[in-house]
Amino acid sequence: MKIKSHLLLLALLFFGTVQIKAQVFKVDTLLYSGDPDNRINLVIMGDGYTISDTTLFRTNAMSVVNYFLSTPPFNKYSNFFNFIGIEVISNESGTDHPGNAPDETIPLNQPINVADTYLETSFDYGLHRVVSSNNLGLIYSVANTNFPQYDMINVIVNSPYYGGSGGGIAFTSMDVAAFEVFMHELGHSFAELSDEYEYGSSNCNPGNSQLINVSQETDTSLLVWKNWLTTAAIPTQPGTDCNLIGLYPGAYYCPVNWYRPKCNCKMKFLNQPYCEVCAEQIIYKINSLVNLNDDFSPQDTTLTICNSDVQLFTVTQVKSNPNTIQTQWFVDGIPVVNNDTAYTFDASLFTIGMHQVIAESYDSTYEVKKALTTYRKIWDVNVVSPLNDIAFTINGNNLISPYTQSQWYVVGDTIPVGSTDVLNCNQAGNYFVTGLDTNGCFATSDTISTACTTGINNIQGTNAEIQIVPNPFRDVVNIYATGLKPSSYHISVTNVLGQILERKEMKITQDPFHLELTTGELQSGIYFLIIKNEDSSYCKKIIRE
Amino acid sequence: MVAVILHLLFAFSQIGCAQTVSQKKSGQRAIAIVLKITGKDGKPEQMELYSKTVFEGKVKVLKSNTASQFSEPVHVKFFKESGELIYEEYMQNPLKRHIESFEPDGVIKNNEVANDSNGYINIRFGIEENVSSMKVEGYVIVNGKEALLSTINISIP
Repeated sequence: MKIKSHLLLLALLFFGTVQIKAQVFKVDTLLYSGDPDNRINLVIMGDGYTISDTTLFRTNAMSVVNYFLSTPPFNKYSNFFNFIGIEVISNESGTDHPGNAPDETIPLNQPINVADTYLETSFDYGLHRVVSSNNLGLIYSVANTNFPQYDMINVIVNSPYYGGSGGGIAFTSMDVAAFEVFMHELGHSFAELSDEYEYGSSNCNPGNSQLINVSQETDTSLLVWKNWLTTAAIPTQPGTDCNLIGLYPGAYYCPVNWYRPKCNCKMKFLNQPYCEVCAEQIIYKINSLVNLNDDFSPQDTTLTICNSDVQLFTVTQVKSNPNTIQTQWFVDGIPVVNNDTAYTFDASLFTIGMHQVIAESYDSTYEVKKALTTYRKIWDVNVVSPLNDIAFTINGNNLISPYTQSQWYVVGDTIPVGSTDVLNCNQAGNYFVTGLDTNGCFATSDTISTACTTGINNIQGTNAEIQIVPNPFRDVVNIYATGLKPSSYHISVTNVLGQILERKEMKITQDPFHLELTTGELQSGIYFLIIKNEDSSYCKKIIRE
Repeated sequence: MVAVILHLLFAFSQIGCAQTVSQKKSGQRAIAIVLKITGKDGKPEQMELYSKTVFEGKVKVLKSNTASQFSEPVHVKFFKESGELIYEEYMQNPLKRHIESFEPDGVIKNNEVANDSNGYINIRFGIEENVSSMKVEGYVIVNGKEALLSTINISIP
């Protein structure tokens, strides 16, 4: 019993609570490949590492990571995993070795040791080589507190001697041979694979039960790994067709009535590769847990596109190495582009109305024979035509565009007479406006003949007040203005046809402002006085006596 | 003094060069609950809350969740205050602990079941935002029949 456990028990008795709050430790990214919600997160936590051993912990944890990533088929899917280290700090280095396991040899192959470690690991759990902890609850709680999005836990124990064990949590010492225990345990905890070895089970009666990699079924048409069978004799005797997938007697702890797919596999012996059937299951599991479409664009999946526009669709794949992830694009169920992460939708090629763009990503690896999960990203696309020939609204001399980002034109002119959504009209003419309609399409309005003769007394969008004195006038007209924004202005006099007869350019900086305008050459009649800068205009009907 | 030095050393280690992983907020809420099971001779008799953690993130389902995959399952059910079942999971009886080990040659192995007097089960699942408390019922399944171990009420912050 460790000192820490005593203290914890005393604390519990004193405070009368039963709920444990695990300590917060430093969480390191050992290898990051993406959003933890879309990656398989392997947490590695150490036991028997003191505050002085944190560098050693990171080094040892990376050894596990590198071993994992060098093991097929995981080696091809490194981008599908995050590796997170939780730096659990112990009071003392090492781990317990009581030396009391029944299979201990004399002399002992490692010294007896007692270490005050946070996760309370020890050798000699029934057998000398078995390293485990009685306090799995604490280990789960540390993982839940520090990185709750974990998918698998490996506890590495700071001991150079060989040892480890499996179960809900894999324990490994830092003898590299122990890493194989971890890989075998991943077969169980990650891929739901069964043990393929024989181990004294008392329940080996005939039957037809099947699991992923062990089976009692001898009818090959019903066998779970039937797609892998080739020329091996059934049942398959080891030593004859040992490299072929077959039906090898002995599996699932039974020497008879249970079969395995291959002579040797990591689920039977360590230091062997996963057999094809087990590797397939691992790949299947990886593909089922990680969405191959890691990201996509546009983010809005309901779109309206003008029939003259193009829209780029993209997906970001989680790639294997070498990459076997492919993306097939469909429009309305018809394949359009294969093995590309982008598709350009040219709306002019499609009818007006609803369409569906789909990016379907899948793993094309040759290492599986069963269907893997495919991931679809779907966009609903409404192809629309521009809202052309809509009438703009006339309100006095204000012409109100039905569009945004408007450009106003007078028929016959190529230069716009205004760039605002409400135009203060200062000359008669046949007007039309272009801009973006409510769908965002570039559209052109109906053409409307507009008189623009009533005049208005304020400059649009400002608080300026302008008076023309006298009106009617003879040779001279006075302009009195207050509230004009300091700016350069065009001051002009036009006839009713919009022809400019007098024109001045001046910078107005004073407020109030006064200008005496001499108009001696004008004939008697109706004219318009226009005061205009880049963003506003004023139009007033004036009469020459 | 030693404690202070250790504390300072620990604090210093926190600003080291190692990167800190980004635990992205997915908007999904989940709970991790560790339950302690106690009993005799590998037979569960009582269940209590050991720890709980509420977090933002996605819990992935790695294993199928059926009673048939375990020889002696424990069945845990989680209910809302209204009595609505939120989540249930079958777990291997934690008092019958499978410990698997290998010699370094990778061939000689052991796969023993140890009968313990206490063990732990760890359950994580997504929860809705409006769940503020839950009732947990733990059952042991003997000869196909479920026997109630304990009922626990859990508040969710």
